[in-house]
Amino acid sequence: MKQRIFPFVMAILIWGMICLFFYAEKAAQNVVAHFQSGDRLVLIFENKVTDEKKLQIEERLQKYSPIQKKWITQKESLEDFKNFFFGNLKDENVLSDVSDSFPEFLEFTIPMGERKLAEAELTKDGYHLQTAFEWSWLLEQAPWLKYIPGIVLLFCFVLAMLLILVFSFILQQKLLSEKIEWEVRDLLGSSSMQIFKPILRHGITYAVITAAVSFFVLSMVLLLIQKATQQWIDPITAEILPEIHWQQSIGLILIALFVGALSSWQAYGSFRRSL
Amino acid sequence: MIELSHLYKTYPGPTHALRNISLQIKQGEFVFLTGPSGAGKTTLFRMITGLDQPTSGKIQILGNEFSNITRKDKALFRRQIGVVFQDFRLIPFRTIFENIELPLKIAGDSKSDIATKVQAALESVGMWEWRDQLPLQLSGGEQQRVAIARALIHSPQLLIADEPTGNVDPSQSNKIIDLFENACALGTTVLIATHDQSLVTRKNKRTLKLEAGSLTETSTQVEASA
Repeated sequence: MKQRIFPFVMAILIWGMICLFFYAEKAAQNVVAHFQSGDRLVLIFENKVTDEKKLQIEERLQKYSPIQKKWITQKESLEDFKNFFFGNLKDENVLSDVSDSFPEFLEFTIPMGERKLAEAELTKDGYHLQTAFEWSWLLEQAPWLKYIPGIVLLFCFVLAMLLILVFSFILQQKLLSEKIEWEVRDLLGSSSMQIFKPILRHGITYAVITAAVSFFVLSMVLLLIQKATQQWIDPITAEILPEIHWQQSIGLILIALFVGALSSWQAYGSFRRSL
Repeated sequence: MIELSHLYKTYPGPTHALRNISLQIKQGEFVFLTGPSGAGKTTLFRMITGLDQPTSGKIQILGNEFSNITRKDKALFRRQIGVVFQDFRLIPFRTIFENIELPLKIAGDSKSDIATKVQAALESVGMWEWRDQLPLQLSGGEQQRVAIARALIHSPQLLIADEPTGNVDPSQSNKIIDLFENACALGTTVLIATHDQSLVTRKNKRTLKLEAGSLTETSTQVEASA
C-alpha cells in the first residue's frame, strides 16, 4: 500500500515545486522595489514596461485621486529622482545599488490615506511589492537566494527521477506478480511488442491516475491557500497560484505520460532479462 | 523436423544434465521419451522449446538453427509448436476460456474463429462446461486436460508434452493419448515424456530412453501383427 501511495506524494511534491518556481519567477518579473515617502509611492520595475502595461497600471491607480504621476527612465532623471526621493532614507547606497539595476520607475503621488488601497489594487494585477531595503538586505545576507529558482528546478528533476524509479519498481512488482502470464505468453510465441504493449498500457494508466489524483489533491490544497490568503494574508498569492495551477495541469499530464512510458520500458527490460 | 547432434548441457557444480545427445525425429512421428526422474527429460524439453541453451551441440527444429536464432524467429517458431508442461503453466487469474484462447490471440485470429476453436478444443477434452472457471478451481487432472487443449488448439506442427497423463486416471489417460494420436494423424509430430511404462508398451510407438543424461536406448515401434 505504501508503495502505491508514494508516487502520488512524489507527484504532488514535484508539481508543488514547479508551481513554486513559476510563482517565484512571476513575482520577480514585476515590481521588485517600492518606496514610500510622505504621499509618494514610487515603483521600480525589473524590466522595461510596455506602453500597454503603463496604461493598465495608470488606469488602476487613477481612481485614487492622483496628485501627480510621472514615468521616469534612468537616462532622463535618475539623479533627480535620487536626490529628491532618497534624501528621506538613511541607507542611500543600498537604494542606489538597487535602482541602478533597473531601467524604469513610476513616481506616483496620491494622498496618504489612499496609499494602502492603491498598493492593494496593484497586487490584484500580480505586482509583487517589496521594499528595496528588504530585498537588498536579504540578498546581501544570503546571496544564494537568487539561485532558488534553479535549486527548485534541480530538486524537481531529482524528484522526477525518483518518481520514475518508484513507478518502475511498482511495475516490476506487478510484473512479478503476473510473471507466469508473461512467461506463458513468451512461450506461446508472443512478439516483444505483444508483451510490451500491455505493460506500457498499464504504466501509462497508472501514471495518468497518479497525475489525476495529485492534480485533485493539489487543487484542493491550492484552493484552501487561495481562500486563506484572500482573507488574511496576501492577495498576490490568491491571484497567482490558481493561474499557475491551471497552466501547469496539462504539463503534469504530459510529465506523467513520459514517466509512465519510461517506467514501462525499464520494467519491460528488467522482465526480459529475468526470463 | 527435430535434429539434435552431440548435445551437452552442464550446470555449475558441475552437473551433467545431458551428455552427447544425438537424435532425429521425422515429421509426423509419434515418439515416447522415457526415463527415471532426474534423467534429463525436462532439460531436453527446455532445449527443444528454446527455453534453455545447450552448453554445446546443435539443435535444429522446423528449419530453425537454435544457436543463431533471433528473438523474432524464436517467437514465430513457438507459434508452430504446442507444449504441455509438467506444471501445466496455466495463468491462475485468467479463466479457462482465456487460457485456451491465448495461442490464437497471439497468432492474430479473429474473435469468431477463436470462439469456435476454443469451444472445439475444450469439448475435445471434456472441459467446455468449466470454461468460466479459474484453473485453481479445477483438479490436477482437469488442469492437465486444459493444458493439453491449449497445446493443441492451434494445430501445431510439433507437440511436446511432459508427463501429460501423470495426473489422470487410466481411462482419461487413453483419451488424452487418443487426442495426441489424432493430431499425429493430421501431421503433427508428437514427443511425449512419460513414466508410464504400460502406456508405452500398449501404444507400441518409437521410444527413446534417457538415463543419467545419456540416450541409452532407442527402440523403434514393432508392428502389432509381428
